[in-house]
Amino acid sequence: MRSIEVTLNVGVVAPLLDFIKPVLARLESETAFAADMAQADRELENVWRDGLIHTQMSDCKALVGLFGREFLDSGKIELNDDNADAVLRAAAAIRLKLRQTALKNLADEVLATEKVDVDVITREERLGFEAFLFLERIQEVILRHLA
Amino acid sequence: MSDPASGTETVLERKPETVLALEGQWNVVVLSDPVNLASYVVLVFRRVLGFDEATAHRHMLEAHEKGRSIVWRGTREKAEAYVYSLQEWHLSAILEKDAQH
Repeated sequence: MRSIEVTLNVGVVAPLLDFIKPVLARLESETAFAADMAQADRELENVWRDGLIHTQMSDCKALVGLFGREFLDSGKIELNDDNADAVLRAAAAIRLKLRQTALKNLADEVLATEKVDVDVITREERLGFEAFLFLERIQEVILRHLA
Repeated sequence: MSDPASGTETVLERKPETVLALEGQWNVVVLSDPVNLASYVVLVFRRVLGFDEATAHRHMLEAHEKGRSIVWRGTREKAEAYVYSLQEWHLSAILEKDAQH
């Protein structure tokens, strides 16, 4: 099994993990974006949505699992073939939710270029933006080495 | 219908095309979103739809530049399954009746 060990700065990452906790809680009851249910009837729509949320929760659990005791002690996380897909999807879900919440007042172009003037944004936007970029970097590592 | 002279009976067959025409064709459409990475979208197209790298890249670019890309066309049941899988990967995928087929 292929595996990558990434060492992170706990002091930098821990506040971001705290910041995304409410986002993770929301992802337990709502999809990352308003999913089109394929013109389904109400019953199928509920099954469809529940299925998406079930996968989402399982994926988020895998991502949160990276930041357990070992991470707090050493700053190390391990990405491997077993968790790569789930972490990729969880990061996508959280980033989409951050876009709709903490980052809703920022323009797409600003996020795309990553040129945010931290002096003119709120604390919530700054933390949201840092979490958004952090999760993007995790995705990039997986896409480059594992996917 | 029967022919008394020959004693034979002709049975009209229902052609499969009739069923297809009623059912119609459905498109799986992926809409552009400003959040997911281009390389992530390419990976999802490869995983879910079985595209090769070049095809996946072409559809990713089409969605990015034109706002949408039809990534699959066929029966409703299979199209629904693709839309669901793409949504599991958090792509903005929708099902759309193909007006031309």
